[in-house]
Amino acid sequence: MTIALLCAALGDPTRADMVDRLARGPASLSELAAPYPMTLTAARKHVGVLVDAGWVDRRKSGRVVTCRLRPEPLGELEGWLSDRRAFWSSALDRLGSALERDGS
Amino acid sequence: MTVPDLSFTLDRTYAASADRIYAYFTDPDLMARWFCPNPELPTTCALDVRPGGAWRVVMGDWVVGGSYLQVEPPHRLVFTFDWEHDTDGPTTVTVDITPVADGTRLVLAHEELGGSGHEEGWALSFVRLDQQLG
Repeated sequence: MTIALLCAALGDPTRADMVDRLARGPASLSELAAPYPMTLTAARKHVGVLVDAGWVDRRKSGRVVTCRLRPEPLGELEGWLSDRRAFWSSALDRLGSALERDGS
Repeated sequence: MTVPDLSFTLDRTYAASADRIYAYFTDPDLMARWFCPNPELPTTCALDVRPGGAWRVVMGDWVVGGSYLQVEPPHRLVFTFDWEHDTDGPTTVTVDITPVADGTRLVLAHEELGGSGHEEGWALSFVRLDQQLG
């Protein structure tokens, strides 16, 4: 699971929307597909991309495929974002110190 | 929306001219004075500051670099930012430098991965493809 993969998977609006839907609770494949004008096969492909990227777990019981959001990706993205933010925030502090130290 | 917004903005005001601040981002020796988080690490900057030019900062074993997308001295720099040690795709950093009453304001905007730019989107697709092939 990498940040690039996670984000690439959400690059498609239908998949971003599906992740949003799953954040409200698990759903069957047909429930997930229902809002979109696409075949179940097309919806299954989108879900497949989300599964490959690590966003979604897919379980089959009988004839029903249930999809649920995995908790890890959001934590991963938040950690990544806070690392980047911390890097730049402290860099701009150091820039301020350097500007002061070196005088005008 | 539950999908996190991976962009952020930092806003600082410095008691220095826009020219000086711009120089601290574009002159290799001046940039080496502040960029590295660890003062113990020897830091070298190679900055080809022109649109399409590459930049690279080596801090001991840590290397980060990218390329310049917009270069408008002394007010604006837009560049991609990519750590070499990870497989995360590049992000885009925009630095806007504007004179204000009490000094110079610097706004640094960090753009989410795969944002509006088609190029980043493609870059991410290639990362994905590499992983599938590799």
